Amino acid sequence: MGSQFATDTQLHVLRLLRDAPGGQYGLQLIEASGGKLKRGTIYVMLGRLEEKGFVKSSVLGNIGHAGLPRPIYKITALGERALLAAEVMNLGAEGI
Amino acid sequence: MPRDDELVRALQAIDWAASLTEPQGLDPEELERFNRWREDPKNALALSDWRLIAQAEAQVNERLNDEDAPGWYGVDLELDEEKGSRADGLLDRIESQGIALPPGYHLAVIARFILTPKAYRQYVEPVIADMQYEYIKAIAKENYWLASWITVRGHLLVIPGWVEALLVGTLKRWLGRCGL
Repeated sequence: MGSQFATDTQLHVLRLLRDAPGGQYGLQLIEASGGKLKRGTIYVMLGRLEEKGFVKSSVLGNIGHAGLPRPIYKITALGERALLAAEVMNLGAEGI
Repeated sequence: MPRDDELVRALQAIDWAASLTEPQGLDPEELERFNRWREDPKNALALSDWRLIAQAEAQVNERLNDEDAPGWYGVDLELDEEKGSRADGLLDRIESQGIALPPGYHLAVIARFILTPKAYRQYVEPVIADMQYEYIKAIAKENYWLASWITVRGHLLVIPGWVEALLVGTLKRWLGRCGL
């Protein structure tokens, strides 16, 4: 089982997902990240976060376009708690 | 005798064709009827039927090159009457065309063969889905150079997913078994 801790970039993804309660597509996350996330690694990262239970992907029934359905990613309750914990820890470190 | 499964696949082919030619081309009434069909769970099962989608693309490509070709997808949305024969007719016409595969088709086939279903779904399928989504948008804008670039780039972008699924995942499992 992998580490339960998230890297800075993973925390950034979690923040973006927390700010979008309806969920985000991978391409939307890349756009919203302002260059922090790359096309080549976004799904690897999302896959790792999904393995940890921090995000959940789903596919909409009516995809609105032809081709394969694109997964939409949402933060889970566990992901929100992990993000909150990370933010609290960062605040604590800055205050020391 | 109506063959609903083929009709459904034909609908998906129509969807692909409409996206490629005129994304805003269907009038609201046709679009609503089409969406009702597509939202039917039975129809949803056919969404992954790649072959017909690809064949429809070939037909559309031919139509794009022939201004006098009949507007087939608009006509065949009249589904309530004689739907079986209409669907069969559409399929016959689609199957008379050559097969052009959607971008990422072979990649998906290979990935599904090599990777676990979970790894495929997590790391490869989203990249292919994005590639097709952007490809359709580029084709709709008649930007064929961009569509080609999107196809090439999409095939390269799955490499990190392959590495993760085949190397990193295997290494993690191995280390886990060793208790490290």
